[in-house]
Amino acid sequence: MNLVSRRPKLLALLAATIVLAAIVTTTLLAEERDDGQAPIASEDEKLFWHIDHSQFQVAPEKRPMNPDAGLTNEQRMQRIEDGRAMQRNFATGFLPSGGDPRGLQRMTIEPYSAGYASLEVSVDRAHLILVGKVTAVEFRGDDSNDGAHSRARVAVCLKSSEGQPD
Amino acid sequence: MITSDGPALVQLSMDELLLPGDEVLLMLVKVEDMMLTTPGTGIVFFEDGIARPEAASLIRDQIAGLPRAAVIAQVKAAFGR
Repeated sequence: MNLVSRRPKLLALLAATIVLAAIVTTTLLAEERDDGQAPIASEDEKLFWHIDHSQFQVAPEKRPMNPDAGLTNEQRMQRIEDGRAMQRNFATGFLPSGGDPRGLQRMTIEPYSAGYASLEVSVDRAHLILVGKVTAVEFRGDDSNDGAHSRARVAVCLKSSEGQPD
Repeated sequence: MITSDGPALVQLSMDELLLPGDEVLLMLVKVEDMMLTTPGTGIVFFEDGIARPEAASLIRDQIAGLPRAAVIAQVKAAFGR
């Protein structure tokens, strides 16, 4: 094989390699960010592409945790039922066992709706308006996340369009 | 409910829990066989006779800090407006 005749092929191969490398580099640097901002161009970002991230680890506190890992479907469903039973037993057993609800911490959730914006609208929409004192509360704790049921002794009834209050 | 921080009462800021001993003004609507508080405005607590609306109440500024008699008077005045 004649070396002279190979030289143009080698030069052509070298040129093609350089062109290909240039295209790849340009493509990488021209990629847009996820937020649609300007193409990557800073020196820091160029450096990013030259760091081997394959050995990076996720920070321990950022690692996703699957509490059901390794469980069969039956075991997973049993855990869910056990959790529901625990909540139900607590809700229905706390007061009968002499627990004081005022001794529990309260968690307040902010809903999306803010409710009625004026006293006038509230008075108009209410079927019953009363002043009184709460005498009992019951937590039924069923699976529908039923709310608390309270009873009150009425001192003053200001409005009643649906019969007398309990 | 049982939370990761232990047992707790969970409530909405516009539908707070009513516990025995609470003195309250209640505005209620009948839904099926239950009486529910009007959203956000349905409960006004009286602490030593002074009104404390619910945390998220939009009429908070209107009645917070008023004596019970004044709140009742405002409710009566709101009839038919």
